[in-house]
Amino acid sequence: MIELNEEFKRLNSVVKLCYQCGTCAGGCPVFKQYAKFNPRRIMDKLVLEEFNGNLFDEQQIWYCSMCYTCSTRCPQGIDIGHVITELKNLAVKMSNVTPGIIAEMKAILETGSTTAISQSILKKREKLGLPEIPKADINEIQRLLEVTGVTDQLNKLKEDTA
Amino acid sequence: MSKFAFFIGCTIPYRVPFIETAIRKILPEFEIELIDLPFACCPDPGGAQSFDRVAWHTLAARNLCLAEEQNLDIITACSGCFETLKVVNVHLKNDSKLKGIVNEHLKEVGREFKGTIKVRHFAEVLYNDVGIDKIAAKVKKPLTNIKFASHTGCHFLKPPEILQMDNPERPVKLDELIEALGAKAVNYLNKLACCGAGTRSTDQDIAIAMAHEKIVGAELASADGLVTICPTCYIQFDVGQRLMAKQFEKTSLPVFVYPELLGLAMGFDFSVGFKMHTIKVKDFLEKASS
Repeated sequence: MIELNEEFKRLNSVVKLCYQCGTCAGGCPVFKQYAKFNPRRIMDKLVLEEFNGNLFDEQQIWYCSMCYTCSTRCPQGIDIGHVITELKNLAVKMSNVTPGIIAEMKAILETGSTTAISQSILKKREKLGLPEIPKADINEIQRLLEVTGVTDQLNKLKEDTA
Repeated sequence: MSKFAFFIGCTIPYRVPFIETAIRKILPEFEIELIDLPFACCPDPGGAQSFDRVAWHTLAARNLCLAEEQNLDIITACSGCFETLKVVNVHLKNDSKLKGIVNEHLKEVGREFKGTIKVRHFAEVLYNDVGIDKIAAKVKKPLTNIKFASHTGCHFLKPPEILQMDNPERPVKLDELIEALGAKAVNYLNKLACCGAGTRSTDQDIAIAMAHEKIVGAELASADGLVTICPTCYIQFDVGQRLMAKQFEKTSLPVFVYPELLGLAMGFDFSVGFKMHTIKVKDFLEKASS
């Protein structure tokens, strides 16, 4: 946990120029549909050092669509979308991940691709006259996921959510 | 002929392969040769980057290495792959500490990121390298009387300081590419907004509501179709309209990726692929050929 606190402090220093103007929320396409996801409030919590606990209430950060409109428009030049992505990385370490992302990482680990190849899609490809695509060496992908700690993290998530 | 390593990604070949047909048919017409390499997932700028940024950089760097080893620039037909590969390429070229960490990992599989190639998006190559005039000159069946709502999409535009594709607040390139086909690109409500795909794995209803706003905007502007340059945006709008009908009034706005329309205007027969769209395009095709 000590390491995580260091990370939060680093993010706190990145966002400390935020003066809560709300431009990020005003341009956020998710906030428009779902007011519980509010990038301004996420920045506020980070500035006020409200780390851990309620920063991740109801998996809010996972609602970010990563469109970076907030980052483009922030008058203080804070890369808000990137900060939220970094928060997601920390949330993963705290076993707070949306199931869809876990499934995607498992698919990459097992096949090197996010998308399963079904018989019907192969039929479609044949109908369209498309060539066979060279496959990645899955051993390489698995080795890289192992050395970067993703495999361990996925196993830990399995235990924590079991 | 300019040669590129064709980064096809996961979504195009295994979910919407008719986009691949259009790309493989169109680009050689403009002296662009596509070379297939054993790439893996880019990986996804939403999911994988959110999970672990070092792993995201490392897996993307492995793909970049494959193209470097062939001395080829990469061309992508998916804006998600484009963002991942271009952002990682630029990060690693400029951040020696991160490059060191990534190369330590890559050593395990006998590879090294050197930073010798560029990452391109097909729309950028068409706009910048081929040019509007040459595209217009290839049009045999202009799409006159057709109005399109363009959706450039977030991952082609942002982060703008790295991607450097178009003005993120007032993009014009896709509109110009559309007008090169003889069609009209209309302004519409929520033109700049995100398709919502990035939120889909967390909350599908909200993701679909985001896409719905754009469809409504395009319909209010009397567009005959919506045009994207990314398969994920395409799926949000095309397959998405079927899901929208559960929450909202039913819509049936045809959705395309730009290469399909370019092919149509150049006289290619893409009828097999057009039949694979969720929203039927028959009426649109009749209007386009009249």
